[in-house]
Amino acid sequence: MMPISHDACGIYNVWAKIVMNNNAPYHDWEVNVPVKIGKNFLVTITPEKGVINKPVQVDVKSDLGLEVEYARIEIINIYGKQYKGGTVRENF
Amino acid sequence: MVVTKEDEGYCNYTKPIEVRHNLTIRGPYSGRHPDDPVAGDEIVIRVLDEENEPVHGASINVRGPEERYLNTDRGGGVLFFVDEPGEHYIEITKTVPPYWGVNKTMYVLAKPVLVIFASPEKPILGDDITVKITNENISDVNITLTNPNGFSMTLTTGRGSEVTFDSKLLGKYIIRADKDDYTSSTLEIEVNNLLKILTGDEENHVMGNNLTITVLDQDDYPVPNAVVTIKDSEGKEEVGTTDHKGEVEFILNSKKYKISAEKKDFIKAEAEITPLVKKLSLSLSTKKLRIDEGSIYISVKEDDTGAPVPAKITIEGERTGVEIEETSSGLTFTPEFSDNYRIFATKENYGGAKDSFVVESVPIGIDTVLDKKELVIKITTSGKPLQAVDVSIKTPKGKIIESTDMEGIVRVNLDEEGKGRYTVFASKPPNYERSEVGVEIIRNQEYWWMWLILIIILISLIVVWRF
Repeated sequence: MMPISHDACGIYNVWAKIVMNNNAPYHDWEVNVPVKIGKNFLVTITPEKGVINKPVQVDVKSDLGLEVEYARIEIINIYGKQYKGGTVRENF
Repeated sequence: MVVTKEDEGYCNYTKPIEVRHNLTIRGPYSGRHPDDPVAGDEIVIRVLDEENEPVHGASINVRGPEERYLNTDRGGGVLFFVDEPGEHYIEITKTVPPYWGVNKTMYVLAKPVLVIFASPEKPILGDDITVKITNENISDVNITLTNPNGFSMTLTTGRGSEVTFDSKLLGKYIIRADKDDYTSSTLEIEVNNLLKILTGDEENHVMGNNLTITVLDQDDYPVPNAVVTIKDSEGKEEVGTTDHKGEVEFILNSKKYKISAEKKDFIKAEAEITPLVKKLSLSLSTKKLRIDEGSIYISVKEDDTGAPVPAKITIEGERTGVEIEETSSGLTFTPEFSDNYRIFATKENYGGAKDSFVVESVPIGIDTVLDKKELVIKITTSGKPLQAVDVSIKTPKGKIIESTDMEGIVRVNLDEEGKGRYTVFASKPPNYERSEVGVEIIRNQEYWWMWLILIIILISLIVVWRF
């Protein structure tokens, strides 16, 4: 199978044609399927049950468990965006 | 919360985070904390927020052996009583403003039950009754006594665990014991009169005799109208009622009796007697006699006293099948036949007796005499001729069977039967013994021709000698 490279997370339609040998008993195949491509964040929130006026720590790692630098973390509540930040920031 | 990174192909991460107030729970506590509460205890729970400020209006739902739906007061506290032992599940929630809920469990121990023991268990009117609480290390128990008339009084065991009261009334007393932290209990005891059964001297407990049963109370006064039941070993019952002297009479027909006496307001009395069984004994004038020797005297007596007692006497001949029955204390038996005899003596309410004796047969004598041409066989007994004896003679030519005549004689013609061995059998059952005799007969007339030849030879010799 040929590797498919990508540069952004998204859903792509992949079209493939499988050509059989001349003596194959069946017809050739054509496939067209949507495929989700991209890396997942592994996010840990401590504590899971957040308490008012108590800090909540958010750790972001790649799905391979490696640190992810410069990921953007946005905390949004009913009053709008409350926090935007990088790797490690304190609550406000 | 949204996590993004513009390069390196990461997908956006979005997750809602819920933030609420925290509940801090103090309790549930009873006055026994840190020990588990006991049924009946008051329980307190205090609810605080994350800043240790009391939470007013939090819901406290108790489930398990019993259910409670409560709300905390302004001080964040709640008080309630638990009545049932077992595991209680407590759910503490508050939704406005939102708080994270908390669940707790509480185990409630059962109250120990007060154990009452009264002594005596079956008190008699006038007895002092001691009520003892047998729980370990217990004191200060309230004992409430309710007498048969329904009046109650309460005593306390003080530092000890027992109280004593005297029973002045017949009937049921109800005893109730109460103490904090214990489950109350009650005991009923019945105060009765006592019945005593008197059956007289054991020597008079003899099968066939009358038995007088006397029923008395605890002060040895006769108890009239008491129902007395006697039950024999086979379960057969007889019931009687005592007279004004407390007496009732029965006839003893069994080897064992259970006796009971009952009357209202009296404790049932029971007794047992084992009447003696008198035995018979047989006495014989002899154990062995000959058929011609006359009679045997048989007498029946009580085994222990030796006193003559009329009883059924049965005599059975083993071989002849003779059977004689007579009810008497003694009889004379003249046997007609020789045999082995068994004797039984039986009488109602007496143990039977048995014995045996032997009547022997008489020997027969056989004499044989040659009388010219006859063999004379004479059968005698004790020297006297015996008539009608069956005589069987085995002769050289066969077998002859004859009966003896008046003189005890049988004759056999030797001319007919020839010379040789004669065997004579004589028998007269059942009273005479069988006898046997053998005789060798060599008849003279059988040799006459030899004499003739000898004479001829002699004459021939004389003639030869002469000439």
